[in-house]
Amino acid sequence: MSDPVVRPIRSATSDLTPEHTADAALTQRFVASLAQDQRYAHDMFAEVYQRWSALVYSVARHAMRDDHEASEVTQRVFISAWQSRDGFNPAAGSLPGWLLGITRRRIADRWRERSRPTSNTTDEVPETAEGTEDPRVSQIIDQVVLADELARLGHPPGDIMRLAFYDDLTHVEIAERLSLPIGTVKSHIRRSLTRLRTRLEVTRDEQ
Amino acid sequence: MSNNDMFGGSGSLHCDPTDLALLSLGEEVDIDTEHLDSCADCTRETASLRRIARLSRQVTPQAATSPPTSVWTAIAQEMTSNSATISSATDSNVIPMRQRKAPWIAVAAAVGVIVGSLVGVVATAENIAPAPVVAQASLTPFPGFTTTGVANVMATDNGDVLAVDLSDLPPANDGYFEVWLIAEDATSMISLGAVNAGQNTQLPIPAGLALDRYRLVDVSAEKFDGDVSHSAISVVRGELSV
Ligand SMILES: [Zn+2]
Repeated sequence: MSDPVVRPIRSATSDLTPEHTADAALTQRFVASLAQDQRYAHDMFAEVYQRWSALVYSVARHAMRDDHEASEVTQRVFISAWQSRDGFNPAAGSLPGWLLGITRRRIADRWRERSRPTSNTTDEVPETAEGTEDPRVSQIIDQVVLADELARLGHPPGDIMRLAFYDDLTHVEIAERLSLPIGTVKSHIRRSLTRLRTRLEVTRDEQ
Repeated sequence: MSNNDMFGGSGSLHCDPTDLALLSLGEEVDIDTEHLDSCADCTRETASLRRIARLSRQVTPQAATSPPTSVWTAIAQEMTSNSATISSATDSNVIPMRQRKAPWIAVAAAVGVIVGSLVGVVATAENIAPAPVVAQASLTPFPGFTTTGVANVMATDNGDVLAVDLSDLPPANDGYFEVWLIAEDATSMISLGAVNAGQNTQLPIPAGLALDRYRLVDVSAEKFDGDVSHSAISVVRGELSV
């Protein structure tokens, strides 16, 4: 009984499919919970938070460049999400897309609040009109999502993609470096690229 | 012909998707350029992957960072507080937990429910015959908490008891921590009593309670407010393996 082990809630996956399936199942349970008792929805929301808060927080950190403000934005995002949860429509977009859409708006709010009191002296964040798409946030979201997904590719796909992306090695050179069959490297490259693309598409799938 | 299937082909054979992937990375690939130049599908696929490669090269692989635990604590409080700021029409269905009398529908699917697997025997004290463990649950934390623990149902001479061992608990903040058994179908729950961190807290389980039904062990953060219902702030939970 000594030393209980903290077990990960979701084990790392090296393939698109299981994680995708888990995310889809989470979305389904979340939607189902909305029609249920408050307490059930509360628990489900905790699970949604568990799955997606790191992404929201990381986007907020890059946008706000301040950990404290990023925490505040994250808090606002999930409180907004909880309050408007009945508005989530799985047919119209993905769950992370919905959360990141809210993140986008809360970041825009904070940027506006930030630029309002200070004069327009050295404000590197120009004011944006309410409700407008801010391309800077989209770019941050793409970067955070890709950086996260790349870090989660595991072995060997993650190693292969690092060598391909950052060391500019060809698939033949990578196969040599990692002592892997050329065919294996090729299929990993193909699969990882499509996995990165899918992740990007899913998180952009706002409503 | 699977390439054709994949792109719903038209006319000549599509390029190998793997070759297109390599091409998008900037490799020199022996490919049917005549087809590629004339095929919208293959061109689009290459452009799409090329974009992914370009964006990926602009970032450094880095797993997203989890927010500090205080963030979830604040959210959970807001979710259950009476003073939750209500700012839109869709918010009106936010009903504070404390006021609800509806059946308590929770789930085994709740965060961190891990089925305990070990059924063994623990010694309660030196020179005392160990009470057999009849069920066990690993307790895993809800978001915002780091507490973990184990709960054992032990058959003692005086009836079943739930022995709870918890790692560090969060600061009690004018409150305490309470142990609950929750029915599998989550329609009801009973309180067993208060628990502190670390120590082997033994709480009697009411005789006659259908343990195979009340399988979820939950520890909640409570306030000294005289309200006997669950605060809706769970710290850890686990499912008993009977
Ligand atoms: Zn083609």
